[in-house]
Amino acid sequence: MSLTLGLLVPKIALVLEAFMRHKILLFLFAFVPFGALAQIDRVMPDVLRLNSTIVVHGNGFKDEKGQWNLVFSGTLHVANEEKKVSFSLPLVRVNNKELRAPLTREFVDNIGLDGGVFEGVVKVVAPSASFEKQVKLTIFPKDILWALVKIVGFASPTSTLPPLWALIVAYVILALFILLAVFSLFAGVASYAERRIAGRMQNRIGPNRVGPQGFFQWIADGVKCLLKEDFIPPKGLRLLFRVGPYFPMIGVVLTLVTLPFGQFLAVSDLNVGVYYVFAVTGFTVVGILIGGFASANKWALLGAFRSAAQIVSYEIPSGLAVATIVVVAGSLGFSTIIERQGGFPWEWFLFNDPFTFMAFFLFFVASLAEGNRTPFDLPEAESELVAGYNTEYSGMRFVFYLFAEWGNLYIMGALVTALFLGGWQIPGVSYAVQAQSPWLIVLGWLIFTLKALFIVFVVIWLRWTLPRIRIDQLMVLCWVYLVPAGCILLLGSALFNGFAPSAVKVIVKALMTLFGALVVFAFFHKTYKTLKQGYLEFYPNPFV
Amino acid sequence: MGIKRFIRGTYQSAKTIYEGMVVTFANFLRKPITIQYPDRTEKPVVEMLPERYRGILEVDINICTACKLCENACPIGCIFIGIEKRDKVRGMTEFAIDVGKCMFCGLCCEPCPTGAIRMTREFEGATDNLDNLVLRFIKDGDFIEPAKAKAALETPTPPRGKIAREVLSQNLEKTAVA
Repeated sequence: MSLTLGLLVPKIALVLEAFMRHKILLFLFAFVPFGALAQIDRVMPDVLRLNSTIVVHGNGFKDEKGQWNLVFSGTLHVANEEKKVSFSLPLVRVNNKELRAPLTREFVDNIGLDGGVFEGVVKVVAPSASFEKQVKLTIFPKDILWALVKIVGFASPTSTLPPLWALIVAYVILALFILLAVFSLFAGVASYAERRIAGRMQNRIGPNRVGPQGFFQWIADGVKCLLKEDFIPPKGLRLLFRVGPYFPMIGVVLTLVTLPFGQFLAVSDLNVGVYYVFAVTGFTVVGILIGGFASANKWALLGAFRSAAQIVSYEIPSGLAVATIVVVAGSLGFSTIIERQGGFPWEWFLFNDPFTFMAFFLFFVASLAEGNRTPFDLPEAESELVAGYNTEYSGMRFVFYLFAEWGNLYIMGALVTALFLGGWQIPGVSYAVQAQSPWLIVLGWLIFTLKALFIVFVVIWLRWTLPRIRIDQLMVLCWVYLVPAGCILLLGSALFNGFAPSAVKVIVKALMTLFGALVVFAFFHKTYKTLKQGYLEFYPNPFV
Repeated sequence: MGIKRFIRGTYQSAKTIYEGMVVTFANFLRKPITIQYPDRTEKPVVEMLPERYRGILEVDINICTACKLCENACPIGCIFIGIEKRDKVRGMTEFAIDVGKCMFCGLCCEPCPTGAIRMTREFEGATDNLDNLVLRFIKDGDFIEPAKAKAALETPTPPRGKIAREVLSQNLEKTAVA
């Protein structure tokens, strides 16, 4: 009797409250006992990473005051041993059908740094009822810190995490290192590498006097630019002029934050990595427009307009090409995209189907246009510089614009590698095996860097192969050729990858790989024939 | 119609870019043709010039017969030979060539009976002081007796260029700023 009353009183209170708030539906539901309709359909995701949120899909989760909890009780299989676990996480009710629980550090502490496979019962404990489901989840809390810990080796794998301040210091140091040292060094060395490569492609040597093989040429250039007079056009806008060069640099440096340099070596592995990269490269446009406008030079302004139009137009085919890949990978996050690829060339997305093959070239061309590289370098070309956005810039400000451009080279290379060329996957080594060993992670980083540097080499190579195209040819190329092609590729890729039987997919993959190998072989064969009939001897040694 | 143009345009650009890249890559693998003058050449630079290159003049004063044919032949008049008689002996006190005025035509070398005046393969005379380009082949105060023509033809002579180099470097040392 008292039990019935005990259950009835809250129900009546609820009804009255709903009635007072005119929540008719809730009023109706109030007469239904909680446990009858509520159930859990699914607990997502199957693989829990550190930045993921557990989502419980179901039905009938009523809006109740009080703390909801998610209780795990079962066994955790870690490597060869089993551990009994039982702990709870606070839940947040989103709506009638969904509950969310973000993973916390205490949760990871409980599970241990290596994670494992959890098999057991997951119980949603609401203030008035509880319901459960048997699940099997893989918990994978490995992230950049785990990788660092393993590589540096100062903590044993199953110990708990270091204190929060140490984590913050480690993250900041790593972020600073990647963003400042790697980026600036790369930009400088890229300028030197570009001049040497350009020289060899033009039958000459390139800078070779300042330091061994001319390696310190970029330092000499930097020092020279620092010592130049800082001239700001008197009629220009001082503040905007000074602030202008930093925007492209911000755009480039922010992109580095999500790039996956190695298996867990991303400064911040966002779920929406690709989307973030596109959002952040918009800073470049702002910087160019500011530079042109603040110069008090109408031709610089026109050049800035043209350049901004170019960058903005080419973001569309770029996005369409990436969407083609996202359709195949199933996620916007970089780590998932790379995870779905493999180490061998036939496992890359490049040779997955003809649509992604074309998407590679589409994305590559659009990246060249985004980065103001030849053949799309009208805004900053040496012979057209009088009408470009950096006409009035001299000294270090000019060098900042150039820094952003060379840094963008690496971003281009890294993006292309991550999306199309299999990222840091090692041929023959699966994702799980690579995750266990820090040496394989370092090897994966090396492979990623080599692939990205190869793409950088191809970009430099194209600069000294192709003539510049005019602004109207540029626009026609984008809107008449690339955008329709991108749309068709996206549609084709979605249909093919969604509905083709897997046997067809495998055959298509094999054919595409064969085609790719044929193209590469034909290229080298033609190079060999050209070398044979030339009068200069074959001299692959870069150190003349 | 539009689609055909699209496909044709795409195919043609891809093909031409591919062929262009083959050319550039082949050149990338070839030996550069730069001659890294002046310090990293394979042979000394003067040896890379032809044998009869008309460079800076030099005079081997030991076989000069003081006939003054070269002085008269020079169209510009940059050769000056000073002749004196001391103790009834005729001799030369000065033999100066102003290489700054010289036009390297070689007309002075043609009439010389012994080949004392000749053109060398030297060309590196750049200096900041024009006086350095007046090459004096007889030191101050010397009195050189001219050689006999027949005997001079038998006398061995230093290799071409040695005397010119010596005189040029002596000039540079004299006017060098410490």
